[in-house]
Amino acid sequence: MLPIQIRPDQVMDELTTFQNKLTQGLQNLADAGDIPAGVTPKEAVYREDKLTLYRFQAPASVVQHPVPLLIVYALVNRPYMTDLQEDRSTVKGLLDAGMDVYLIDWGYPDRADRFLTMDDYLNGYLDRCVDEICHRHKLDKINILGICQGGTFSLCYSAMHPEKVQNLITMVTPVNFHTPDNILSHWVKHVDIDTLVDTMGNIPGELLNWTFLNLKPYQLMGQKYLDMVEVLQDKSKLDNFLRMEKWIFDSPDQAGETYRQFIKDFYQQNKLMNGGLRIGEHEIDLANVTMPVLNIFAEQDHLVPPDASKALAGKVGTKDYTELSFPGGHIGIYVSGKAQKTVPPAIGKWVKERN
Amino acid sequence: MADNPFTPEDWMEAQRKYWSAWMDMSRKAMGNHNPGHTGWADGLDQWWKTVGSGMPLSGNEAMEQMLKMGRNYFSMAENLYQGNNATEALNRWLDQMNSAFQGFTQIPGASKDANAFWQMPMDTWRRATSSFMPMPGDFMQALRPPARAPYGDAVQEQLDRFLSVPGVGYTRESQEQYQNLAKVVINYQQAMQNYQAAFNKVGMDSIDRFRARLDDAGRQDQPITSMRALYDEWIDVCEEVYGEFVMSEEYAKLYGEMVNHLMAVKHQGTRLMDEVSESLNMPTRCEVNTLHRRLQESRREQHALKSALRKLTDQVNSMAPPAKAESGTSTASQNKDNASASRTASATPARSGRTTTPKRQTASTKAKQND
Repeated sequence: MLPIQIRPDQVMDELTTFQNKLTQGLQNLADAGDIPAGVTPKEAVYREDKLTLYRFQAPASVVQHPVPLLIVYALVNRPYMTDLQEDRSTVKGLLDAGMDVYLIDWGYPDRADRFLTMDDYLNGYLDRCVDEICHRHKLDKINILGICQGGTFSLCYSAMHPEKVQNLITMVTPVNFHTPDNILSHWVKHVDIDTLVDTMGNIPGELLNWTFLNLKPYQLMGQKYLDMVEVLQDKSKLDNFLRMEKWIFDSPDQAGETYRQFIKDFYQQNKLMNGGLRIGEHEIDLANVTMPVLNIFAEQDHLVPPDASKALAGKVGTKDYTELSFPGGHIGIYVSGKAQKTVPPAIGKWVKERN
Repeated sequence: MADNPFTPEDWMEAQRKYWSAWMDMSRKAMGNHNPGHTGWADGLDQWWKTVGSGMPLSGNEAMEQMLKMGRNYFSMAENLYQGNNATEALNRWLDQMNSAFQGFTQIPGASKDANAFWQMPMDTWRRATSSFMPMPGDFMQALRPPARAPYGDAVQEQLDRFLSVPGVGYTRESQEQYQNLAKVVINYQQAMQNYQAAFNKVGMDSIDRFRARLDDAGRQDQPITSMRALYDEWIDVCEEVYGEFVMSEEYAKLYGEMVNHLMAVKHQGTRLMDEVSESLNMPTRCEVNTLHRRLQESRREQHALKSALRKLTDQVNSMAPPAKAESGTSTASQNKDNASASRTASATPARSGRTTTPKRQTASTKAKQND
């Protein structure tokens, strides 16, 4: 049998349909305007340099847990991914699950921030945010939810300051950076990071965008935009598409010195697994992570492979370690319909069981 | 609006009519059993030129990308349509693309879009790096071998010799700096060329695997029956071949070399700019870096001092005055109250950093000194 059975009139019909969708959807695209993201009401409770610590407004009908939960997001991309839209919001789900949610927005570093180190971020900014929340709630320790790179930061912070972390939740967090399927660590293997940072100062967001898009270039730079034609006529779906598009390309530059240490120590030398990692005056030993840990990973994560996250199991010092596997990808774990129903409620339940 | 004879609805209707007319022309050509070159991809281009000028979307990145991919899709359809047997037409098109990859050149016409498609990683690399390169992205493109081809290796040899001429006299150092810049630019161009050549190989491998997939589909009596299904299959194959290639040691080296050589260009460019800035009595990048570094060190020390001061204050507070202890209030609960008061005093909404020690703590310190 011939492998392709498409008649010329079929080809023409498909193209006509495609073109009609494009034409009819153009007006929606032109009218789209600015797409808001970050929908849950929130209050800025602390600012320092470009950092803002937010506290989200809880629904009046839900009794909040007495120990707040601080979301530590990655430096790459923006944290509004956790609160993208009304029906796709991890933050909203956590509030509904009774969590009192805080979030750090790291802001957009500029060239004057080039010499911010991981020590500055973790033992400086993050630590002062934790202190601020502790003071506001008259507590000695709080719950932390670290996401992606923010999860790795949270692990390091918890190892350095275990007395300030009651429960630790890590989401799609790389721990072992040298699993065979880790594309990013493979790509930076021969990159001279010192020269890169010494030359560029801060690392441009465009370079990071290029890296992420090139994980699946033909899908992310090609197929995706043909799929866009399919949603042009549906304003709601179009808004969702554009909101995600905005987030994907909203990549802050990375403070040079932090990038240097993160890529060299974590991606190139895998020190979080192998040992020898120092942040400021602290030697990082995951055995110091003695508080309960919930480790959530995505089964189809192409950015942080599941094995990179699951490596945490054998490294932390806690006896209360739980894993939660999510059947989806790195982004779907925050925004998919399935995630809304399962992930935030599971976090709420797990936290409540431990207080 | 009532005075406006041409509403947005009219405008949209005009666009629909434009495209319908274009497709009607194609249908007539099909009816004549002489499809030839339908020009669908060109039609999309032409349509967008007309539409784009009247829409607030020109320059919209998503729209541009959507049209670019649409063009690619139309081009694939166009090639499939040229002939009564779609399988044969597709094979012919794949052969064309294969030749294009092997020849490291672009064949005019149908394969141009497909070639551009396969080179998307390289294309986005140029776009991403042009924002922080001292010269536009096209500059490197102009240095590619096809641009130099008429002169062969002789140009390269002459260039190498010229760049190795030792500098003399008062401007010796300056000359060497510019020679270095030219050398690192050439090295970067070579690294890009190697990277691109590897992608041509990926393109050819993708074609082979695509053919194999189609053969399998035929053998298993599961033919592809729509344009979109064919396109998706094609994407799937490209990702599969690309995914294997980028996990190879060869790719890691090519990528590392390309980034490292780019940094050498940028580094040398900055160095030259610093020399110019210095000659104009302007701050150099190097000097600004020094300032930023020192400033960050000072801020770090400042935070450490604040933190140490807070700890000392807490320690002092914990040493309760005997007189108050005798009044019947327990030391521990009093200290807790002190600490709580100091935090309440400093906890203002969205404040910047921690406030200074409250007066109450100062009083406590004095009490301790009196002891």
